[in-house]
Amino acid sequence: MSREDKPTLPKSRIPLDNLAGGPTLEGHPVIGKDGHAHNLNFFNSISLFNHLDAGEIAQVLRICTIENAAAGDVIFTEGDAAESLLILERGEVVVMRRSRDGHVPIAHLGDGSVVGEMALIVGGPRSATIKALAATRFYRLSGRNFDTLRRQRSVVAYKLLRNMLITLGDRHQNVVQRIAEVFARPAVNTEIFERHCRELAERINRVV
Amino acid sequence: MTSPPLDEAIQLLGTSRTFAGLTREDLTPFIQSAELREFQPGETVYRSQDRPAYGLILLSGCIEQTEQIVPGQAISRQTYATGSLFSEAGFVKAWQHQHDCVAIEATRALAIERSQFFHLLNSGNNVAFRILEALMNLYVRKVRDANRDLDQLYSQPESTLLLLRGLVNPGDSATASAKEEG
Repeated sequence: MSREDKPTLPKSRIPLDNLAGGPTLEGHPVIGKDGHAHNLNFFNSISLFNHLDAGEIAQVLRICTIENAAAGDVIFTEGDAAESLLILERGEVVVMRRSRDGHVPIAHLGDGSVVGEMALIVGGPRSATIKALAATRFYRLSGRNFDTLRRQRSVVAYKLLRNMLITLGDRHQNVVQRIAEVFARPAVNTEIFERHCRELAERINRVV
Repeated sequence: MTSPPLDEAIQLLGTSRTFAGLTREDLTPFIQSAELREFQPGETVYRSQDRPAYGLILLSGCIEQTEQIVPGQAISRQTYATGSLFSEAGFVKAWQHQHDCVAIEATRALAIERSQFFHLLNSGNNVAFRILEALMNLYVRKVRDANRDLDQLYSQPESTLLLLRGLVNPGDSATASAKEEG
């Protein structure tokens, strides 16, 4: 069992029979049998669900679990086996990466954020640690459940894949752009990296 | 618009890993939705920063993609075999190319416009689905590689500084390299 599957966070499977109706439900909170309200506007606002209708969103939610994390809970740790995608419904998490300075925060994510698209496709180790900063509720879509959709050549699976691909492509362009920016203004960035090197040397000297 | 030769295209794609196991019924509507593009040896297929309107699948010949993400570091060169996807951004969104791409021998490729690709996906075409899956794996690798390159810039600031100094003053960089080698 991977660390992310530890039963420390309460889980419940959500029956969403009420969601199968279609577009007339859009914009209205839908109450599942567990009493949890799912607002279709919320899912429509997430790029992962672009072009999915109410029935298709329901199909995805049926294979998700919903989990809660308290402030301070580590939801998963860098290096853990990655086997699910998370959709933050509400709350706040910090994304941290290991560096020579310890765990460094690289992003704060809130309502509607999606984490772990790459994990859903290729697995492998988690590339960052996610820790809740406030009470956080999230949906977890496991790789195993998603693979079942893929094997069925479901329209929902291809729509999700397409949306994830667009997110990944945008992310790739963004990172390549950030690399290009470092070298686009070499004189300015030479000063910045000189300062960075000096600070690093001072830190090393203090430790030594 | 030139139509691709159906039987030949089915045979050629059937030999590639991406499309292995697909039937004639899968491949026919896909190939019929494509255009045939031909490139002469040395002809530019696309340039870095171009925004593609279509994705390409290599049918025959050979192309070479070159890129240098970080100035001063090695240029990546890749050649591709039959069935390879290239100009892959064109299948999904008009992301800028990061490569220059040149035909290194007489080359033929299937070109699929983005709207046509989505139409095929909507109709449940298995070839389109295979391409989508292949693109996912490709982009996961691209994002991981780019993240690694970005991490290296900041985690090894001394190397980045040398590269930047080399861009500001190429003469100094050559001297520094000679000193390091000496």
